Amino acid sequence: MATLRETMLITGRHLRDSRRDPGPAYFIPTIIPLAIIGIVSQVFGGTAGLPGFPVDNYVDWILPGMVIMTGMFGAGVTAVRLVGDHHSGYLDRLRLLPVGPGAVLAGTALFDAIRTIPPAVAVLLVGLALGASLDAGFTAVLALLAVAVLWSAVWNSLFLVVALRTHSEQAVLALFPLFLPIWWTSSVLVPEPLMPGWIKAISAVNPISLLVEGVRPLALGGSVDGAALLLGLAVAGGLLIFLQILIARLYAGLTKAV
Amino acid sequence: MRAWLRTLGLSFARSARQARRTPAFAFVFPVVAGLAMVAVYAELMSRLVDLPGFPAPSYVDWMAAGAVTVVPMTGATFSGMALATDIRDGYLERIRLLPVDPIAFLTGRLLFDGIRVLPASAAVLAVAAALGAELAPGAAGWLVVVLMVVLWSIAYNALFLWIAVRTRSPEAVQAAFPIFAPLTFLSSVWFPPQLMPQWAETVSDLNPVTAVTDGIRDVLAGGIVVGPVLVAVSVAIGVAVALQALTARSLLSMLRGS
Repeated sequence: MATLRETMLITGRHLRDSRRDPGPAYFIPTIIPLAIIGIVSQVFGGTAGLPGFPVDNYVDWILPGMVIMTGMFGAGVTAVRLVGDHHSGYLDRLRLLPVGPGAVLAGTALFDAIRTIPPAVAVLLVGLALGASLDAGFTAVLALLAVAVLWSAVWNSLFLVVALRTHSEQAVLALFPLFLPIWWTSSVLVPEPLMPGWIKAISAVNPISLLVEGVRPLALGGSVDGAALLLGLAVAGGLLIFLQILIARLYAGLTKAV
Repeated sequence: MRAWLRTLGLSFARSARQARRTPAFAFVFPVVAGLAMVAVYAELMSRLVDLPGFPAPSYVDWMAAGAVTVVPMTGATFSGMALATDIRDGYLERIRLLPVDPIAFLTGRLLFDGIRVLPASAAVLAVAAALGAELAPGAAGWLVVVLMVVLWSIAYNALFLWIAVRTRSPEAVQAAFPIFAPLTFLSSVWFPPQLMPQWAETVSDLNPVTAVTDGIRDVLAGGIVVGPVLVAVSVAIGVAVALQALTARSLLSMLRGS
């Protein structure tokens, strides 16, 4: 299992880099969703008083979505590193070693998945402290973390594609605000029946909505909405595979061209 | 006095040239969040108007003023980063050799920041109007809105110039960008304070962002209302003068000390 070992080596390098410079990898993805859970759920809590709103405590509604979204904040950390590794010649040096491109890409995706767990747990804990019920307890926590990890890998893959196509850190950083329109056309903040028609139509195919709708019932004391969750997992998984194929092809072109 | 004004004019023109060279940072970045707020978020949250006691005819009416207030706040890294870079590159050291007052240099920068955000603010208001916001400030009212936006942009950018002089680091200026989020969440930008929990309403009432937003909102809704305009203008001027004094003190002692 040489490939597994190489993958872990690349993941380990990302973990070491992030320990030395924790800002983009851990601090930013923690602080933004924490501010949203800690402030928005309280200050805008009156939103749950709307006629037909399905829960009384607004934090109950938005917590699952904010946990799932944590990997989107701080997205691009690995993409910016990849651009730097390309410019510094690190990727060329890897070619001299028995480290295949598959290990580099899998190790990077694995890191993006793992680095999501500490911020997601922090967001969950603050949500619980603010009175979120999370009725299914440990099962709900595990389900939310699993979906958060998957979505982080998908979203960060998109940034890797842009990094490999443009070779530009600026282009990667400019992609950051893309989370806003995706977030605001999802059911993270507002249940679909209370949305205007055009946002409802987007939300119906928004992967974040699909994932949140699948898992949220579990957090609210019901059981997983199997159909929604399966659809969400299929869409997220499909996107991940599609983006990883693109990444693999772009990466192969990148290291061959030298 | 003439030499002072000449320095101010040269600094203003230098800022304008920098902005022309990096238009994405100077002009496009400030508009993104504001546009998303009126075009997407205001639609997503349109049902908030059904909350008992909601103080505006529609949510996009409420959001138009909030988005205008946010425009300078999401564009404020431009000037702060430029100043921090000037300090790091030794440009300000060179200024010491010339008969130039650093205060005039800072003021020229800030005046340009005042007008730099006007195109973005106009775009945000045009989109809000197209989506149904009833803007009826009248001719004199429009001038007062422009005045309030210019003063607010000067005030908020002064904060980033202060951070630039204190830290001498463009990265630190960039890292301060997200403070606009808590500052606006706990203000009248997004959610009516009278519908917030008591503690949040109290904080919001003390928040300078609320004073500015309310002034702009009242004028946009129906022409000049003297009280709120005076509060907004004096708060913006007060913030600008206080921060400018802090910045000038730090800058002068830095230039003397080195």
